[in-house]
Amino acid sequence: MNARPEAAYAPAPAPLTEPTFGTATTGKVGMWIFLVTDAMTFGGLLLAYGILRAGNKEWPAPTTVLGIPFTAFMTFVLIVSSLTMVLGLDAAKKGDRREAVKWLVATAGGGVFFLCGQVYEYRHLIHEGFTLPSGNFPATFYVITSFHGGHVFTGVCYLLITAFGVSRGRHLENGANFVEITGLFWHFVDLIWILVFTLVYLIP
Amino acid sequence: MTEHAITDYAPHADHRRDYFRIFWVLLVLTVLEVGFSYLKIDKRVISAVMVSLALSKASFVGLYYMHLKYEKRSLLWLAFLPLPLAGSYAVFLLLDASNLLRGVPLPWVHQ
Repeated sequence: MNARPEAAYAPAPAPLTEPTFGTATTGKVGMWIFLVTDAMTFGGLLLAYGILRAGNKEWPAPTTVLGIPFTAFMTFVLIVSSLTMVLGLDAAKKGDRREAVKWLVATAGGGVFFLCGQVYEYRHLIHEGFTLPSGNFPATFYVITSFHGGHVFTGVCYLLITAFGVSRGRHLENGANFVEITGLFWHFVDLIWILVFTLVYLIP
Repeated sequence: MTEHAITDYAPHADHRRDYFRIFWVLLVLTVLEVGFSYLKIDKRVISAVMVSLALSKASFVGLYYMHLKYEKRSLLWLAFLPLPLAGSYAVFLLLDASNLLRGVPLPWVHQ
């Protein structure tokens, strides 16, 4: 049996911090910079939606086309998943591995539920004739919501990879910095949905 | 700019009460938003109220769930500084689009 080199069991080195940002690690600052740029992409898409809508008097009221109660429930699921994410981080910071994995998997489950809901919503809307090429409203609706759905899918993968690492005893060192960075991405997905839900679904 | 490795962390502060409190706030604001969307009042009033509620919810997520409230002020600036710039850009583009596309001259342009 081959013995693994000693270095494989060495504790992870402490992450670097940039004093300008206090105790925030360079990884966390990097994630924030990425999120700001990603927010600009979403901002561009929402702006395109706004400009097209502002210039079109025949734009239908979204509440008459889209299923608001169903989407409100999906929004609720994402908000719950944000809560489970911070509970997972809290457990990871306390070094409670089992609890952290439980909450991280629950968060990923919320994401999967949201994606299933989105597929169900798309199928229903397409069946009603609300298809991508049928107008500016459906075109912008599908581009924005599917771009967000892509982020949810990425977040689910990210969460499961993090949960797997935590279950193997990794990512708990340095104040569970890795789990916190994963959480930043997930909360961003929730934050963007809050804006998309209001701007695309609710504003009459 | 220099980088430092940190080896000691402040004891973990317990924010669980904040997390649950913010969850209920987000839930109540979402219910209010959905309720407002069914009201038959001036669309501009509904839109203004909804955008305010959505921005409040987004701020709560950023400040408490993404821990910006507990970070150094400079990280808060990193996250929020681009927003007014992007926001003013969006406002002017929307004003431009809604006026030009309807053939209405901008109020400050004299012809």
